[in-house]
Amino acid sequence: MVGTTISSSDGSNTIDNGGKNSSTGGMPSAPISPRLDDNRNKLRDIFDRSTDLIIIPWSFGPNLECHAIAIYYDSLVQSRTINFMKYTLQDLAPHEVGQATDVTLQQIIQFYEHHGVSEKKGELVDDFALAVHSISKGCVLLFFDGWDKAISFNALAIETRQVAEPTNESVVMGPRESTVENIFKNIGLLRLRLRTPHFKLQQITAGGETKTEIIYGYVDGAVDPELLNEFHRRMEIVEQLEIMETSYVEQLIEDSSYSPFPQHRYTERPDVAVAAMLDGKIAVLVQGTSGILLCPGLFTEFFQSGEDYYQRTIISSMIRWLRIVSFIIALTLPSIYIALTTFHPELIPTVLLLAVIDAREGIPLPAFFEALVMEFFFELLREAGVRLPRPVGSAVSIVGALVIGDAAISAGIASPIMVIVVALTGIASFTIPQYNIAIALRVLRFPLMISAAFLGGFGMMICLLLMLLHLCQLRSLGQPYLAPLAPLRFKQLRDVLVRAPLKTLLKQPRNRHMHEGGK
Amino acid sequence: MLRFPIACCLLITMLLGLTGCWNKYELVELGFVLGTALDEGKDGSIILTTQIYRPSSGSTGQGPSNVVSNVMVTTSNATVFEAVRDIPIHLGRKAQWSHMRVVIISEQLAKHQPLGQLLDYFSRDHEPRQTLNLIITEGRAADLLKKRPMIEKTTSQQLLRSVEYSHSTSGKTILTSLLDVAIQFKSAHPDTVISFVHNSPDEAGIFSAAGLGLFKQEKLVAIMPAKHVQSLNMLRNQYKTGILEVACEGKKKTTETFEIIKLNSHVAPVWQQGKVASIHANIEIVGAIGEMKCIQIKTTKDEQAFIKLLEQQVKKQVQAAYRYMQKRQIEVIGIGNTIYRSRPKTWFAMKDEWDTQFSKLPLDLSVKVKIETSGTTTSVPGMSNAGAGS
Repeated sequence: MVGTTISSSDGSNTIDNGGKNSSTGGMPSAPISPRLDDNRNKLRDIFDRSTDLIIIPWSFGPNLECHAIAIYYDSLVQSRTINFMKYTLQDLAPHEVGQATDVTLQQIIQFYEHHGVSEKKGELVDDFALAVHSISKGCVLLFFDGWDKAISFNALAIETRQVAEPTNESVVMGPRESTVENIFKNIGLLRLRLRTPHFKLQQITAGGETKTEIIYGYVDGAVDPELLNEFHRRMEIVEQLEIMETSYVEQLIEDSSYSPFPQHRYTERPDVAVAAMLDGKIAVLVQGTSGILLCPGLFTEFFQSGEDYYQRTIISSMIRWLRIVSFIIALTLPSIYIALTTFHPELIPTVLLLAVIDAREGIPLPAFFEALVMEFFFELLREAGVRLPRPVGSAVSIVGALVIGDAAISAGIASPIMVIVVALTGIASFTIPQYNIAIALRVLRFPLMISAAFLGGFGMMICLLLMLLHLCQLRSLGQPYLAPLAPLRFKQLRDVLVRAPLKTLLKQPRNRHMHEGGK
Repeated sequence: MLRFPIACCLLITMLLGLTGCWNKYELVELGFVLGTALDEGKDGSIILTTQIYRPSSGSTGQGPSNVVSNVMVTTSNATVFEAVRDIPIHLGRKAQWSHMRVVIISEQLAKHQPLGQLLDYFSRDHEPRQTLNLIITEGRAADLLKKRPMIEKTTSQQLLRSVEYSHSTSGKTILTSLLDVAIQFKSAHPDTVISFVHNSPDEAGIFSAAGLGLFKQEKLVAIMPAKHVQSLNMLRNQYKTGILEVACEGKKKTTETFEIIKLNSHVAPVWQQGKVASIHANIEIVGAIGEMKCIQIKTTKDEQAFIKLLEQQVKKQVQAAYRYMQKRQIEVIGIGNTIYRSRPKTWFAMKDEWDTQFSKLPLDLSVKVKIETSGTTTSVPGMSNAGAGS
């Protein structure tokens, strides 16, 4: 288990407790009483009405006169197989089997205070609040009568999903590992690919109740220090709040909440996350979620897919172009259709126009409403398809194919051309590798359609210019969102419109100052 | 960052305020004009026949139906524009002119009314394209428009394609757009040509795009037959590809055919003492042997002889077309404009007598033919033994 082995004193990992209040949460710190009964009563009060809390009294020492209790959450620990009390005593008793009558409390105190060698590493806890927190985290705590400290064993053992193939970012070539809901497994996947002490991981614990572990990693030297400071500053808010998912962090640290454009990127592929960190991004992992948040996310990065770097240059560049075209189609095709048919029929080639006229004849709705109705149908089906339980899902596609594909045309509500437009728009939006920018397009399509319906191509231009203005003023962690297009940075353009050969892409290292500036 | 939603709200309010201010028409509110025919009515009025596309309302798109895909609207008035404005009275939809392919003008109308006045509306209004094509036809222009198309969906499209391919594959007419004619009318020597489509009088008969209407002072003066149009194309350097026929020696009915692949020509007046003494034309032809029936080309000497034969044939044809123009005192080769461009002062002095002067100028012609391929390895008649030496 990766999760059980990671702890703060492990040398190679630089996880340190960044947050100040992370250890005690809301409770004021109080010393542990040397009297076992006091502690037991106090714990009973705190963990009132918790059916899965187990308190086991133990006796040992000469004439079994020394008393201790083990306390833990049954639902979180591996107690069924390991008895930590027995381990503790076994380290001190010279024999394997017996009642441990020759072990005294003094021996235990001495052994643990001087960090004696033990198979199961226990930590000393002298703060009551910290002890309570440790229990909540899935530790087994041992309290001894007459000692004002407790021993805490990390025994967290919960079932997690196995590392599987990525579902959202599937590729033909490239690694097929995907992150899981266990944060330590994910870190293991990252560290496997980034074997350097420059790879720093910092942990904060967020929320008074949830105590969510949030770990963010970056490559020292590759990341811009100013960016990192800005990130630290914004993470301060995160620490105060209950974090359920990585997207919480995204929304809390983003620059513009009302923008439809995502300002940070997600990935569930460790290779993508590592490449991004080498490019100077900060990766944020949250316990309990599988997505890795990469900050900051720039506009052009949403067109990049992990596979771009595994395929040949020409193919990747072509596919990059395809994505750009499909971005434009997904954004503008319905509005182009509206603008052309209602304002500029002269722009359609004659033969095509005649086909469009044939298709439009007898449709009761104006082009705008026709497009709106069909887009609405499509969005309905899409949403229904996502939310429905999987066994029922196929019913949606059948009904959808019938309603959109056939019935709407036979009933004369929509023209076949409109169906093509809607279908093409939908397919085009699926080719964009990042889901969160694809849904932004879903939203932006409608104002564009409205302005096309009112003012034709002129209205479309107004709307597109407004979008461009918005994109220009958008920042992600203080970085211009459209970089390297605006401000124009020629050297970084090699991974925007084309994917330059890896020889040139990697020759001037992305983390150039790493070897000089980094420690 | 509330600026974006605020901007959006502002935009939408502004857009709502502006609704309906522009030329918004749904497709079903428009009638798309595909072609127009102009005929002469009584008392010099104009009969305007417009062919308007009728959508096949079976929008399921299950194959082409046999329903005629257009409607004809005939309006008559003193001017073209007034006639145009009368169309919705009958049609019930606004006519949309931007996809008009052709304007057909009847021979009668073109003879009696200056073309520039007839076409002014089409070149001035913003909807019709400058690239629409002009066609002259015999008889009533509307009859031509009412013919059933051979292969295209509509007659107008059929006419356009016929003229286009007649020009590019056989050189038997010249594709003339509204813009070409407008430029020509405004140039120093305004005589021009417009493609001619021959219409067989019987109802089911087909039409053929061959010939050329010659215009002098914006009025039709003659219809040039197709055989001369080929030569005129050569002189105007507008010849694309075509066929040259050479009669076999001794046998009048058998002809060899030669395919012209590329043709370059240069025509210039020859000046003597400040006056045009003659016209010099230089024609270079590259081509391939198309059909062989009697001549054998086995040696370079044979080839030279055949080339000579071809050159003579071209000279004969071009001279014939030249004489045709001289006889009618109309010069549409473009020499007048060449003179104006090189010596504008001289041109202004001579432009009134140019047509009569032209009718007396000799044409000094030099033709060069190059055979690029014979199509077979041995240049002898391949299929028949008619010309075989043995």
